[in-house]
Amino acid sequence: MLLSNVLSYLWLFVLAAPLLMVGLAKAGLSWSTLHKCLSAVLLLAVINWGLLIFAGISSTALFSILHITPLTATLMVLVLFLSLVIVRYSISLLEGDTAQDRFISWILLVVFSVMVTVASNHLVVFLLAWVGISLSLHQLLMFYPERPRAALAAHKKFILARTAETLLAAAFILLYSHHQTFSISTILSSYPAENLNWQEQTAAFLLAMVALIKCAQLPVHGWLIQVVEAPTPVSALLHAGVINLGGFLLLTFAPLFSSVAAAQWLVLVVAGISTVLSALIMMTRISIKVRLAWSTTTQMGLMLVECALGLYELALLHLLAHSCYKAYAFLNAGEAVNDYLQARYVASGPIAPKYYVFAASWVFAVMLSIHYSLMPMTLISPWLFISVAMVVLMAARLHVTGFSWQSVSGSFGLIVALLAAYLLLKTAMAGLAPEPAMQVTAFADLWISALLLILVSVSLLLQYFPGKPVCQRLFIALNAGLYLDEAMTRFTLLIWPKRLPKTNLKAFRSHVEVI
Amino acid sequence: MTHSAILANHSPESHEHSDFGQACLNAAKQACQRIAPLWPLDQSIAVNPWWPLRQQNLGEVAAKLDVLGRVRCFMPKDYYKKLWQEGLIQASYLALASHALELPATTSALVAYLDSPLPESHWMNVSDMLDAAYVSSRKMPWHDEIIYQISQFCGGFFQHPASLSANNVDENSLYRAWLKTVRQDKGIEILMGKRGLNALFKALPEQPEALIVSAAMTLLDDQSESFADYCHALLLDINGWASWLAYQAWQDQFEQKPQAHVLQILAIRLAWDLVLWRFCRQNQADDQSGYSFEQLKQQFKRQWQHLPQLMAQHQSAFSYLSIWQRAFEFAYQLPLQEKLAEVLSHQNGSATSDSVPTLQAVFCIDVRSEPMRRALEAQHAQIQTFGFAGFFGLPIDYSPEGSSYARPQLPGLLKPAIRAVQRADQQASEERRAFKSKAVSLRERASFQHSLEGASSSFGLIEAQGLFKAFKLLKKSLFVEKPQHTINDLQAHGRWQLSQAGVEMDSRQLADLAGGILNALGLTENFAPVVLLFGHGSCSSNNPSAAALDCGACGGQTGEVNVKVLAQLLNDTAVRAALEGKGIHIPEETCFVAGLHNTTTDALHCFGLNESQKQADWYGWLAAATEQAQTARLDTFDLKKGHIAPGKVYQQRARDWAQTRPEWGLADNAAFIVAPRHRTRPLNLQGRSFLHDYDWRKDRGFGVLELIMTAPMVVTNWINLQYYASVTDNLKYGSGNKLLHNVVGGHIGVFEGNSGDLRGGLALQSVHDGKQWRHQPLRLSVYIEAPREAIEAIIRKHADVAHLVNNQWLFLFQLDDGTESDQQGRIWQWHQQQWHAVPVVKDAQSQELTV
Repeated sequence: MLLSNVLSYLWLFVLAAPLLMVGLAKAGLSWSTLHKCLSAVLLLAVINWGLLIFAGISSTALFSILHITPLTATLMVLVLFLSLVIVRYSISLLEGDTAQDRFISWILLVVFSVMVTVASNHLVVFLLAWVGISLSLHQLLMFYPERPRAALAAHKKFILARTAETLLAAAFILLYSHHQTFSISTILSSYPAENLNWQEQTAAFLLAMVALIKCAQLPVHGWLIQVVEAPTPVSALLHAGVINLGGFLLLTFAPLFSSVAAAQWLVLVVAGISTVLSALIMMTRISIKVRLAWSTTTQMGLMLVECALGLYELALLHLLAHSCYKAYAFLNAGEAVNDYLQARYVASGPIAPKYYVFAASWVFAVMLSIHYSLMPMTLISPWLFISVAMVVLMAARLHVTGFSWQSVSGSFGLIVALLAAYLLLKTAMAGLAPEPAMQVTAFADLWISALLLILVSVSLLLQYFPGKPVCQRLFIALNAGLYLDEAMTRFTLLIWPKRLPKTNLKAFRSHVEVI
Repeated sequence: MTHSAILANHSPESHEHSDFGQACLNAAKQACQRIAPLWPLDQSIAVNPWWPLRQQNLGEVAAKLDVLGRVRCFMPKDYYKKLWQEGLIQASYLALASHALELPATTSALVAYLDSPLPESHWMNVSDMLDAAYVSSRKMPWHDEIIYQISQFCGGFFQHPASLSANNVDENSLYRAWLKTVRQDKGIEILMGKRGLNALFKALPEQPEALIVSAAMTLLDDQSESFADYCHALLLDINGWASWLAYQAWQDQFEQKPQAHVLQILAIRLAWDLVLWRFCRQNQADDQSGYSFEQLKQQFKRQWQHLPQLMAQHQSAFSYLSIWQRAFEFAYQLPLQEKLAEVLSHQNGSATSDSVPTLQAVFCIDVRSEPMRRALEAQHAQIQTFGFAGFFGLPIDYSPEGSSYARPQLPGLLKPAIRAVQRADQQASEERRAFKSKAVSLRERASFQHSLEGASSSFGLIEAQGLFKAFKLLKKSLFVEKPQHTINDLQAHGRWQLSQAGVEMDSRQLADLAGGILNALGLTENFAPVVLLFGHGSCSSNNPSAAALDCGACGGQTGEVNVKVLAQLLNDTAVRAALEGKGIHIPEETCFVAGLHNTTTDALHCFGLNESQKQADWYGWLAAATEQAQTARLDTFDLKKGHIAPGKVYQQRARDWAQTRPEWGLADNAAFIVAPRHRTRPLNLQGRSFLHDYDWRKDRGFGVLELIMTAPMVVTNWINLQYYASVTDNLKYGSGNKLLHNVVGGHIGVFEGNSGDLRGGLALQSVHDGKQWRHQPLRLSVYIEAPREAIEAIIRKHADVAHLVNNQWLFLFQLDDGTESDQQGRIWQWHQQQWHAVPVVKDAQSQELTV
């Protein structure tokens, strides 16, 4: 019990650490010193996490407003780790810049808000921290307020964030009025359940909508693409951390969410279609950061779909893996030229179909043996996703190295290793993620499988027949983002005008006078 | 198809106007010639952005570009004011400058001028007029939207040519693909809230030439002299992409198949103005603003008549600014000249000693070599160093074995004539295996990357391995990963094979090549037992502009390939035997060693040394020189001396993936000295001078001098003005803020964020330390020790050199060693087509300085 109490206070310390750092920086401590302190905090968090997961020592509820579960502890460690990397990066990046203090302080405030959101067990605290994330992030998006496009994107994000918060507040009010308690864990303890009343159903539906907006699903995705106008670490923080909130929301409220079929279908349809379209649009992009941004939309779509399918362990795996991947990809975006040279050196052209056939048969065989020996597959769609990836990887590898005993065995070994990692991680996540309330319908599974197959076929079509008129028309439409965002931009300008560069007007006036 | 045929086909009205049409087309083509090329990121070399305008001088160009595109060719007045207040620019320099520019002005008038505003009227394109007429923060300005549309389209066209270009590829495919895209695009109508735009795009002619003529006929009332200027203004609006197309044209010129690349983007930009004009006419008034088409028409036409006045107005406004700039340059030149003159007057004509030096080392002319050479020379009196163009005169491109990829390893002005391929040694199977496994793992990595980024495969792969990126994040944060370069890391110790047009070169051809290089280098006798050939290269992580820190003379690559090839060439016994026939005797014991000067860490590394070489004295000198140079350079960063070794600090900076300033590159370059090393050896030139060794006494017929003045001098001018322009106008000629950089098309260039034009040139962080500029924008001062007549003859022979010198894109001085007269120690300047002795004063403060 004592240990449990101590642990609670340690978690509290971890939680408050980012805020503390901002205070110490104001008091004059250098960022490199503070970074070392933050590393120590991370170490402490990891130890706490280990004690919780492996020794099962849980903390006592902290003043009944905070709540450390395996899920929240894992997410806190992730967020702290990412913030450590991003702060380290920002120290170098803004070396000599007078705005360095301001920049890193806002990053830490975002991190603090995220951690409080994750740990909160109180509807009001949750909502306040949630708003806090968005408001402090806004400061970072407006870091260069003189850039009109950056301001436009920030405003767009601001409007959507306020909308999402209103919906979230509405959902919370409904939940509170039904349960008469602010405690999230108490509310959730009454689920899964059947025969929910309209308040509960509406609340679940609203939560699903909030998740879709927060994860930048089509057609409210524009802001996420356009905030590449902000400095690189902001993109990393947003795409690896903040964007996951939608997924976190569904994971937290899983017992409720998985009891309401309408909410699940909303996600299955919107996020499902979003996933396919944004993956295709990503193929047409020309710059590294914008490609990455579209990739986030599509990956978030899949994460939400996995929640809606009741595959919470996969959704959690996706959340963690995508965060690390995307943080790395953004921070390392300057290596794009090296990647270009790598592709230029190999200069392979599209993969020859025979490699696809060969790879597909091998992967199929492996999947069958997994099904019969290790883990029977109940749903088709998750296995399709991993199989497609393995087939493409094996085919691509054979395509550049050619058929030889060495390359075949090498790529086979690689996919077996990756599959093993996948299964292992999936199993490990099952211990952290919530259980689904009810079995998903076969129809939902088929819907998602069909979407994936459409994605595969259209992307192959675009790749292999780029010159066909229908492909060209489709490519141009995809390249224009299917005209989904333009209306949103006009709407944003209408309700929140941005400032034009003043010089235009001045120059014009003087010009007219001269004439 | 000739132009008139195109016109006849596509523009029925053109027949009666064909002369007018042809005149406009010629004007448009002339405007296209005014854009300087932009090299891709992986081969990034410095370009003088005003190279195509070299027939005019800076003052004229500054006025013109300011009128047409608000481009700044001088620093803001505050900058000069600060220099004046700090005392760097003195009254005497102002007097000299006003005399040199023949613009009489008193000091007080000049100082007062700094507080007056510059003219604010500029040329406006049709889109600018519409933007200015209806200023609303509730809509996107046309200008932004047009740049965005063209910029994104061009990126798409070069990234996905197969998906966007029409199937019958011809020389106008860019323009035609644009038409196709814009005609289908419904987004613009939605975004701008304008119906009917698409119909106007549909009505545009199918060929760029026809479009230009039809636009000219609509927008111009009568024959106008200014059409070329209007086209120039449009191109400046989209300068980045226009420069990229100018680069395509530059490459085509090597292949002898010129294409109208820039003309197409001009047509695209002009099409936008034409469409807006027609849209305005069609709706009679721009609906929201109440700005009528008549008003637009009146103003736009009046603007044509007014343009010459506008130019004149700006030119006179800039005249004082050019005095300030010239005075700023005097502030650098006079103290330097004083030092040079002093050394010159105390040395005899040819001071080379006859004794054989113990060690010779050849470095690139790069300004970063100068401190390193000083540090190396300080180790021993018998060390002799040379400065020579870093590609060592080898006109090669390099292709790694087993790939179709090849990259030029020579200045961008030249076309590679020889292909260099490294063959991993057949004997050393270890080497062979190492190379093979490197190449295979590169291929495997590429396929992994491909799958990870694939539309349908990314999902599963991220789930299976995304979490492992946490280790990569950790490694990068702790600086444990060495910076990697895909192609450079492939190199092994194999033999180099040189071939010309697919045929391997024989030893006679190789000896011709080697002999030419030794002659140009002035190293034909007195060989030391060890001759080090140092190329140079930088070392930085996660840096899209890394190539800009590498050797410009090697086409934006490190000099590694060139020095390795040359060392092999000069160590080859067959080549040496053939060289004997040319009168060059290389002693048998002389060994040429290839090395690399890492400019980021200031370390000297030699390739393929054996154990006994590593025991030799000279190897120890290299280590000592490294340490000395590293310590001396600490001042250029805001680093404390002390607890960590400087080498370690630089290494950390090189490995730091967030480091925006791994090194300062060629910042603060200001002079180019072409003379024997003993003229500069006693001086500390503070890393601001390019140094080329040259002894005119050995140069019969002045062929080498001609080479230096037409090649290295032009290259240094390009570098110098790239830095200059990136400081004076980072928006047009620099690539902006590194925090926002976003690589386009893998290697084409960067965007700042995702909007605006393609950006080239140097980033703000490369020339600014967050508090102040780290490059002083000064035009290059070139000092040559050679007879004045010889220099003059070369100026008169080469029009390009003459333009650079006569229009003062650089300042040309002669160091007089007293051979021709008893004027030893004098310095002469080529100014207004003749030589003038420059005033030499002992004390720069002296008031007698006025001429």
